[in-house]
Amino acid sequence: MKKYLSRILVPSSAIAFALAIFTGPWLLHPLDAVESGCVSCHTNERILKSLHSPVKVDISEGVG
Amino acid sequence: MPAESQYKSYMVDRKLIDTDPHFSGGCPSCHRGNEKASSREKAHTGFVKRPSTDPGLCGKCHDGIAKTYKDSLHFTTAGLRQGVSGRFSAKEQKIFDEKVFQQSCRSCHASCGDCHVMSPSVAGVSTGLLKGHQFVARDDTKTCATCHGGRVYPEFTGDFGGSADIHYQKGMTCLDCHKKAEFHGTGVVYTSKTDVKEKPACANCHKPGSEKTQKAKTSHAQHKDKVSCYACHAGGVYTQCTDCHLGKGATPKPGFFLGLNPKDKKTVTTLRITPTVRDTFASAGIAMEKYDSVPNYWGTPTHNIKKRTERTRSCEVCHVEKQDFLTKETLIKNGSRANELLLYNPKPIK
Repeated sequence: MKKYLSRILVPSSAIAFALAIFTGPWLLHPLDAVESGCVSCHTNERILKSLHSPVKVDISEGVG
Repeated sequence: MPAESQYKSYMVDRKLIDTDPHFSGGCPSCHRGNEKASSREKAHTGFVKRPSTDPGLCGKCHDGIAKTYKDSLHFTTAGLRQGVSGRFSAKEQKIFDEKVFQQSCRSCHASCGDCHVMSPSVAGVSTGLLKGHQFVARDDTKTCATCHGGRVYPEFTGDFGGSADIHYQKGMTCLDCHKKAEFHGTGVVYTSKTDVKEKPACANCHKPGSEKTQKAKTSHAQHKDKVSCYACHAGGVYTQCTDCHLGKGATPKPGFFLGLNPKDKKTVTTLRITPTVRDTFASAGIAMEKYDSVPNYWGTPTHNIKKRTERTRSCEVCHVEKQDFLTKETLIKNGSRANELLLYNPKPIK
């Protein structure tokens, strides 16, 4: 059994190479991988402040 | 809130995204838009600001509440329609429903999110997310107070002038009297808030017969079903809204009026001027053919309650001096002829 297993084991360098190929693009862009554009802007004060345009106030309407 | 800080009201609490199941489907599952876009404009193309204007969205999980909420007055705003409909001919009613109700009155209806996520917008201004987009059970000051900040809430807190309502002083908020069932509805379709069974009643807490003094006990027994609680316990002047014209809003003025309740002409109560004047809907082509069928005053539960007032101290204030009772001379000028039906002359003390 031990002999049989040693035959099918893949070298660790091959595993590392495969991981780099398949996960590389995601690892290079971690924000895209874990959260949407909505989250990255609406949870970042610096970004949101730079993007937000203040609302114009119109006080002509009556209220209850 | 200063304009340069407005962005803070749109900041989402990062922790919620990982822990609150409301976020499990991602932002676009409710708000649509384009989460992969590279610019603000593109990201917000097709964005739905108030997704819960369709209660069915929340109904996917909160089925029971969504089912009754769509018939509740906060959602249908049927009370606003009912308030003016008595002044219209059948033809005018049709014009009102098509031209005014949907575009104006209905635009004020409350979505689920207006109470539980983000302060509603009044005249284009909102104080933003309640707690970083947390779904909160209640936050009276940022939700109720925004829409009802013209007359009710400032009366309650004392910001309108005079002292704050005794219930506010004791630390109570809107939802201590106005219960969940009143907002979420019960499945019964109402057209006026005065018909809602679940509305607050003073006697729910202040049981008749439990008064501490004999004077109070006697007074309550004598006035039972003839005088509303507010008529004696309103702490002072309250907001009167006058001169409303379509799209221009009303002019608030302080005042105190006592007369017969238009909905129950056996009871004397505090009255509030309703802001519909003869040409309110003229720009929509509605002349209000039956304007004189409906008075310009409605019975109102004032929100500036006090235990002791001038009226509770002395019978003479009403029965001799007749203070603040509407008379022909004090009725608003050029008002509805139905106003005269609300006049009441208090009987002298035997």
